[in-house]
Amino acid sequence: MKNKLLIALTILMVVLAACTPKEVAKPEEPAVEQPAVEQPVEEVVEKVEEVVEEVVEKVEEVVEEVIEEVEEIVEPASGTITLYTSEPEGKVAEMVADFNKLYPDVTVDVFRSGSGEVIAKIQAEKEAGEIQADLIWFADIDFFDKLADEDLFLVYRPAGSDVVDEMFHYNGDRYQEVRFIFNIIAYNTTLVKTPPTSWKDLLDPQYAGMVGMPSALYSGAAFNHVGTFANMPGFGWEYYEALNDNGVVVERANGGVQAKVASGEFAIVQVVDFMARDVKNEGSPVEHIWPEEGALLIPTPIGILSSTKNPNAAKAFMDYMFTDSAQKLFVKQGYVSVIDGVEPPAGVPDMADFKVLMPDFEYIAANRDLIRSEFERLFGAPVE
Amino acid sequence: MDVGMKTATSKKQVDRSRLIQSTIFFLGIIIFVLLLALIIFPSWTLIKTSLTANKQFSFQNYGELLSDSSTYLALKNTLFVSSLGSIGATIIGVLVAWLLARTDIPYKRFWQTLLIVPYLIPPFIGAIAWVYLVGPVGYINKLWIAISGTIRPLIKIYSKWGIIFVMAFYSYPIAYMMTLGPLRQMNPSLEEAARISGASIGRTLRDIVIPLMIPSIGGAFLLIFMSMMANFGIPAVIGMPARYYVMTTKIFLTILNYDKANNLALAAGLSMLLVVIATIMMSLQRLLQKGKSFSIISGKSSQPQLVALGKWKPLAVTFLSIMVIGTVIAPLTAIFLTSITRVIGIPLTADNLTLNNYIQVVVGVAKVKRAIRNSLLMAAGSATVIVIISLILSYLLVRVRVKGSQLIETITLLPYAIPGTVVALALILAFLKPLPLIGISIYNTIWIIVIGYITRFLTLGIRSISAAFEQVHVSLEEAARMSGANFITAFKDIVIPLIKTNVFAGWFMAFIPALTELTLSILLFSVGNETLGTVVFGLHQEGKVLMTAALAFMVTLIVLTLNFITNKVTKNQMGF
Repeated sequence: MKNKLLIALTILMVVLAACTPKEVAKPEEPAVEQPAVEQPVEEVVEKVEEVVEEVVEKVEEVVEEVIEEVEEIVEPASGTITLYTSEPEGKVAEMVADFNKLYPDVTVDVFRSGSGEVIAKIQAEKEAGEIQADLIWFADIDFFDKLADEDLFLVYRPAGSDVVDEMFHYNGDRYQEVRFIFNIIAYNTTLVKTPPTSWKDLLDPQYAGMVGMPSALYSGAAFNHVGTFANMPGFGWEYYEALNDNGVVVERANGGVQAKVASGEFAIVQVVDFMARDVKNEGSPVEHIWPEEGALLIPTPIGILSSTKNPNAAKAFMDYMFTDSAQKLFVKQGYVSVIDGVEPPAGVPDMADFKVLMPDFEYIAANRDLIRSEFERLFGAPVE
Repeated sequence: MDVGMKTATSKKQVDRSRLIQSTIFFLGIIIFVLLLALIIFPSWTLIKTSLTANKQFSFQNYGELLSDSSTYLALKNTLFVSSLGSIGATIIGVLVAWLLARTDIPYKRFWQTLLIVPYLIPPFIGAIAWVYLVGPVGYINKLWIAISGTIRPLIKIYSKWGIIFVMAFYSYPIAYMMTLGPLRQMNPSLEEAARISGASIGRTLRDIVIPLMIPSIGGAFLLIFMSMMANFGIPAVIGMPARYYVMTTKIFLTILNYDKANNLALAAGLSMLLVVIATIMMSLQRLLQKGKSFSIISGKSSQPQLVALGKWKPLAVTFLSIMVIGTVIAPLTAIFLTSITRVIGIPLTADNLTLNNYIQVVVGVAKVKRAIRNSLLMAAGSATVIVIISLILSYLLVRVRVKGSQLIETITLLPYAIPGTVVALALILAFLKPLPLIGISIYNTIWIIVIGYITRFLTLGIRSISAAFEQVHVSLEEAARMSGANFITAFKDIVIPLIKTNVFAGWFMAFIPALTELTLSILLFSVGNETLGTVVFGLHQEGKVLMTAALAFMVTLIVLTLNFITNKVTKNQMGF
């Protein structure tokens, strides 16, 4: 506390000292130009007083800002922050433990659920007054964009994130990509002897009734997938019509798809890449391929909400994401690092060696309702 | 001097008794007002919402629903699975009850204990068990694929037949319990006469037993029909993956469809349609119960002669064995085996076994820890509140016989009689906006779930405790009072000891269903306020097969243990 006061006082004195001569000089100029008779002394004094007041106010503002910034540097982050996420619970817990090695005084409360439920909670809290989370992190960038339109994010560029490609500092540094996930094709090795090699292969009659994929109505990753392929030359909605004709089964979310390809309920699936490696590493008979047309990169942004009560700790958490330690942990957990030159997880080619597709942000933003209704029409119609 | 003292004391006692009685009366009024607020207000909000469009009174929502073919489909599906399911359950239940009540089948106690177990397992856990058993990669289909060499499964559980089958298997104990008593009281001489005249067992059943039992069987059928129509867990686990929707799952999905601006109003409209059917069924049941007093059934304390099964005995024993294996042993084994599997997708060999799933589920997953704590606290809290309210209300209903007791009983029955999905939606609509006066919304907190549990299970507490008050004849209390005991002493020494068992039973009757509740909780919970039911259901939907199995098996064991305790403590009067 004493330190803070000292710093504040020092800054105040410096600033005041720097300002004082200008203040006095400014108001005197007009006073000199005009004859003294027309401009009584009282008025001049009043004006001078006004200007001085204004300047003092401004100085106070500047000082407050400076104090805040200095506090951040001097005081280590502490307190509690709350994270709403749809990331796998175990992986987030590992990450928080690693973060706490760097910032032992910050408690991170994690609320983990599917994207849909997290969004529902955020919307309900928004209506009730204020979102209770400090940070949010899940795979529906379109929802982030909507929140950004209401100016609900803090603009912040995390330390160490400059090396990341500019396109992943989404929406003017409101939210960031911290590691990459891709939609790829996985298959059960006990059921599939000739695996597909491309997204088009899923239409092959030999895989009729054997393919599963997550629902665009529940999964952010699946939504991005449909929104991209529906507008891609050579694919389009006809591709989904054909998938439906080939007996594709729609599962709710990626977790279910992952479990069902492992158990053999699905032979071939569209799934997020790390999930396929996870079940393989656990011992289930699952392999995955990087489709010829490209693996779809699924944005999974994390951002600080502007309503945060503890921006200091939230920023520290964002900074941590780009540390060596965090990026290495991500790789260990099966993710591809967002930073060039970090070794990818075992079994993953270098990003330069496989084709990466980016989501069709424009089409998705303009056709959000259409994508959902078409998907529902094709794969969601109730049966008798 | 001496006498004067006594008069003063007794006068004081009378004053105190009056004070206590008026306090109870006063509390009763408060509770009644609270119940009105917690039951009638949400019901009213539900009706109002269904009739509101663009903030005005309108039939627009109903118009939209009735012009949508999926509404009729859901209605049709509901009626289809409920009627076939209840026919199946009633046939099984009555047959089991007749075998146990009227024949010389051996090991009756053994069958009685085991055949009631399906009723105690929460239906959605039963459904999950059946998925493990005959799902696309269930044990039975795997075995079939291994034996037959095909890659197509033998049984398709994700279908309407799967729903009907599982529903029947988990509901037949209702028919069994409801017909066992009447069958025992039935005059045996009629059966004997038929048998002596040379009628076969089948003929005796068809021509004598069933016609006599029509009121009881019909009552059981309608009760099962209503419970199937209101069931959410089974069609959610088995129907939703095949896009086979019934009313409850359709309402659920409509509520979750945030993209639609009027999703809650549409869900309210669908709920009203469901309530209409439920009301028709309830009225039918009332009618049946009125005509129930057949003179032939009226008690005759003769030891009933048991029907000798003779050559049918092996068949009857086989039937009961299949029921026990099919409804208890096989599904529980499927859950247990899955819960100790290390890796899915490879054969269940010795080195593919682990207890790790149990450790992971309890220690590793934060929401499971929260759910265990939440469910225990909420179930115990609601059960306690229910018992307190029931004590006061039952005293007023049975002893004081206050005016309008019929009304109070109907109001408390309402949240239990109408489908849980509808109750949950009514609560959401009523409590979405901040409460007046305090300005806080209880939506998205545990309190909306607690209110749901209290209103839904209140009738169970009242039923149990008012039955106790009925049994303790007021003359016992009066005798005590005449012998000089004051109100409190009489209550403490006479009433409490006599109703203690029922109070305890009433607490458990509310605690056990609240502990594993899914239908209300799945709509009322929020992240951080999970319950056991929502977490098991959620893990299942996320595809966390191994963890789901571990948690589901634990929950089942807890429920069976609690029921065993209730049974022991109440000396078989309550519990099963």
